[in-house]
Amino acid sequence: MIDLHQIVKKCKAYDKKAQKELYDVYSPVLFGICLRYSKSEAEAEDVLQEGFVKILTKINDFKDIGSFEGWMKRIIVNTAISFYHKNKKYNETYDIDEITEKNTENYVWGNEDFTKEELLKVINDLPEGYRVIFNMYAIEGYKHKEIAEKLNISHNTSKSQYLRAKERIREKLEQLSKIKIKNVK
Amino acid sequence: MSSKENTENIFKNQFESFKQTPPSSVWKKIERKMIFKRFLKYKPLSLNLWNIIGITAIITSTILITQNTTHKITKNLLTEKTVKNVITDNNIRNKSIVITDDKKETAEKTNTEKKITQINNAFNNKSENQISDKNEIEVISGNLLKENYTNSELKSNNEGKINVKLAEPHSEFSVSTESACEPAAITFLNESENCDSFHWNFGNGKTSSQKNPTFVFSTAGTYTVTLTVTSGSVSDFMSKKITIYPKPNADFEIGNKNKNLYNNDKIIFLNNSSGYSKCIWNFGDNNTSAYTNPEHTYENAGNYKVSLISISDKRCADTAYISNVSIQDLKYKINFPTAFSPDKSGQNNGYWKNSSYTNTIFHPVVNTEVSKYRLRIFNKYGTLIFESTDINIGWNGFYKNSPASSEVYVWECSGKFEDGKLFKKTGNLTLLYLRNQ
Repeated sequence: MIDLHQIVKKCKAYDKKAQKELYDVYSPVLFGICLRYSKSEAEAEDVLQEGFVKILTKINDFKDIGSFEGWMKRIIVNTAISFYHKNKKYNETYDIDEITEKNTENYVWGNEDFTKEELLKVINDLPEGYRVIFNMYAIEGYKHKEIAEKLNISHNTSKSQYLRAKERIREKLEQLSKIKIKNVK
Repeated sequence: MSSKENTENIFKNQFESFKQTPPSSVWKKIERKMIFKRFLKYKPLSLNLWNIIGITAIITSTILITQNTTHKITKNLLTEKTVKNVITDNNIRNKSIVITDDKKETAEKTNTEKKITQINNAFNNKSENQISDKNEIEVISGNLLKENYTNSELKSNNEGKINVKLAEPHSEFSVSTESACEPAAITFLNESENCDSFHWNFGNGKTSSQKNPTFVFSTAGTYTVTLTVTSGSVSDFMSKKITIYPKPNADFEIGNKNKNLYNNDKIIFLNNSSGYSKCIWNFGDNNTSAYTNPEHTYENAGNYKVSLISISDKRCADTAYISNVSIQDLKYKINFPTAFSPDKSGQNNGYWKNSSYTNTIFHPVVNTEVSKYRLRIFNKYGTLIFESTDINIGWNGFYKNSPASSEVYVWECSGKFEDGKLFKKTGNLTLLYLRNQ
């Protein structure tokens, strides 16, 4: 059993062994987050690297209140967002009025229909903005208001981009399930 | 469960506890960065001067030897410093730092810049031998902590030159609409990044290399539109499905089209459209209907433009018109029976005025007084068998003073109403004798 408290305490004193221990325990979880926010594994590695350095250098700012894991995850997400800002080449805004939710084909999928790899590929292939918003809203559970603040966009843009992202994802999943059905046949 | 929640749940369930072990190289980079950060944590004046001087001495001597330069690096250089290049090389465990002074006078500055070039050259020469393709060059400028480039952006190759990796092309586009009715002009908005050429395939054999093309899909179907973008030899593509729905065909006729139509008449409109699920009638008199085959009565005489919009279940529409539906004033309506059965009494020579409509005398019924009138009746051989110029005198069924035979006759009636409006009508009638006569 790992004594997280002890590790954190040592990390605060820049203990190299403790830093490595912390990394060994949490890097898989954190890397999982990085992979979702990135378009490629190489980019995810960069996010993890930069984010973990931030964790190690700012560990003294963590005041033992709340979950340490949650704190680390937030730092990783924030790092991913800063990468997004860096990568952002253009800034498009959509009006919410343009978006209508289409419900023509109501596919309902089960949790076992797709592998993690397939889902990850779908997320990775999303355009930068969609990917960040989808992750933040659907998986991390941020509110549109928080997303808007973090990404420096309007509340409505966050909402509409999210709907578009979801629409795109649904299209891809439909394609995927069609391919799968074909293969089964 | 709606598919909306479904999509989110799939991802949430799969990724909430998603773990993947990163490659071991990541920790090495973190470790290296931490060492560097610790190094920077010291305040400039408390820098390990011996280290710096030692490193500086190495660089200086290299330059002195290789370039024959006699430039001095003074001690105050160390306090006001900008680190230009840091080359970390794991194999030789050697840190080289080039330090220059920003606040020197111009003359000296030029000198310094010259020197940097020389140093860089020296490094490049060195790199050729010592830097293998696994080594990274970290370029750090300005604020050390904030503006360092990530390794994926800058990589060194085995020739020791810094190559900025070109961003990969990314195909991306949006469409004015993903589904439309035929024929549909759809505009594609290119949102691709990092590319120099575009190739559109509209899924029906047609292509375009325009940046933002507009394409007209003239027939219904599902088309997969693909945008392939290329940057150099790398390409990326993206597809979208465009659905073009068939258009319904709107068509209709007027049920009683062979008759003259008058106001207060019940007019039946027959819908002959195909491929529709909903229709909207406009009778041209501000009245509309959504029935398939509606009946309509016009209040006033006039010419009306009747339109029918047929709408498919995909909300595609087609419109049919009859632009000149002529509704005549009821006061000009003349009614003729199509059959009558006279009795053989001669019936007052056919004078019917104010008599009850027993249908024993053939005559029209009018709503307005007529000033001029002529009714002629012919038999099947074209022989004129009856003529009257008085509307009050109809045919009593006699020909040459005896009852005419039971057959079909043709009539023609023309004249002028009181207000001067002319009329002319033709028709046929059947003469029948009731059995008890």
